Amino acid sequence: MMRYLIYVLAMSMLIGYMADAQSKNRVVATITASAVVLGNVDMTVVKDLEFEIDSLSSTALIVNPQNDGHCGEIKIVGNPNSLVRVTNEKQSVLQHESGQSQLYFTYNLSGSTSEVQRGSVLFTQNNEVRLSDRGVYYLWVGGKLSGLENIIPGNYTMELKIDVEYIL
Amino acid sequence: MTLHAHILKRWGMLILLSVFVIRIGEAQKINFGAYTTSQGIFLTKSGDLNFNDKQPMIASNSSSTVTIALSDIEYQYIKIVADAERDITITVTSDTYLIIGAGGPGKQIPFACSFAYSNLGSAVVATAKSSAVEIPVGFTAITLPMLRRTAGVPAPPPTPAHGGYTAPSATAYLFLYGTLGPVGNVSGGYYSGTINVSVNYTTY
Repeated sequence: MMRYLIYVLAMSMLIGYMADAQSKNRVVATITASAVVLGNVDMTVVKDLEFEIDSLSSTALIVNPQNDGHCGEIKIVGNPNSLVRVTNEKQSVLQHESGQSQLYFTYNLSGSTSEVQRGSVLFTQNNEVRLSDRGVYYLWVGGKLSGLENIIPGNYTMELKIDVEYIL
Repeated sequence: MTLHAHILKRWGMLILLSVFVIRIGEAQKINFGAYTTSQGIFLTKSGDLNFNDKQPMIASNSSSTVTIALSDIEYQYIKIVADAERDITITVTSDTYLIIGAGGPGKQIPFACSFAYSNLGSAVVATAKSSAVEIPVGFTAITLPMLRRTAGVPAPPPTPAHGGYTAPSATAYLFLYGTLGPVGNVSGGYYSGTINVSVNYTTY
């Protein structure tokens, strides 16, 4: 029995020695391959754009996107620090619920990486903005409401279409 | 002593003797290995392969692919310094997907690693790259001389180790590049995978 153990021990030493000789002869390097992929960019309406017109003193009403509390607010969420293009309609028609009257709204937008309306920057055309390091950007929607000389009591509604896309 | 025990003893001695004979034979080979170890193989990598270096914005929900070719500036390389008189075997294995988290559907992007080598002895990367040999897709291991012979008769075998002798060293390069994609409908975020490069002196 002892003899068999010696044989097994001798063979193990031999195999171990050979494996050790092989390992000393090899060097290894590891390289990482990587890519950051942009996910979807999403928009959330934080607050609707609302007007309350009690009395008419002029034919137009201006809502300043940088400081008016009636502004609409939209939150954009995407990849941190990515560049996006914001595109919106320039004008919409507000339709009276009866369909018998129309008002016109010309948009004016401002934006900021923080939710501070008074610190937002006015948009010009097809603005390109960079999302914050948390991947957010805030838009405030204001503008000029005109055609008030034809206004009649009741609700007027409209939809604003805003497109946001990554700039690749 | 029975006949059975007697046979066992004789065979036992024979096996033990053969083990030592093999060991003596291997011992000579091990000395040769020690010779190569003393010369060493040194690897230096240039950096990691980043597909955003080629295309800064890679969008999900697309069938686009991003390719870093050998001719691009975004490739990476490994500098190999070893005994100029020896052959080396390079083995390149890589993940077939770059993954985010644990991977799986929607969290992995196909990745194909390509590589090329240059063994003309130039220590300048740009010069080495201009003469690099691209390895066809599907191969994972190559054997090459550390220093390619450009002309003349084959070189003599490597000089054996002896007192005071220092074998000349040479520089070879392994260039790494590849293709990512199609990206597909995947989550946004950081995707990664590894490329393992193993180099050893070739034994024949």
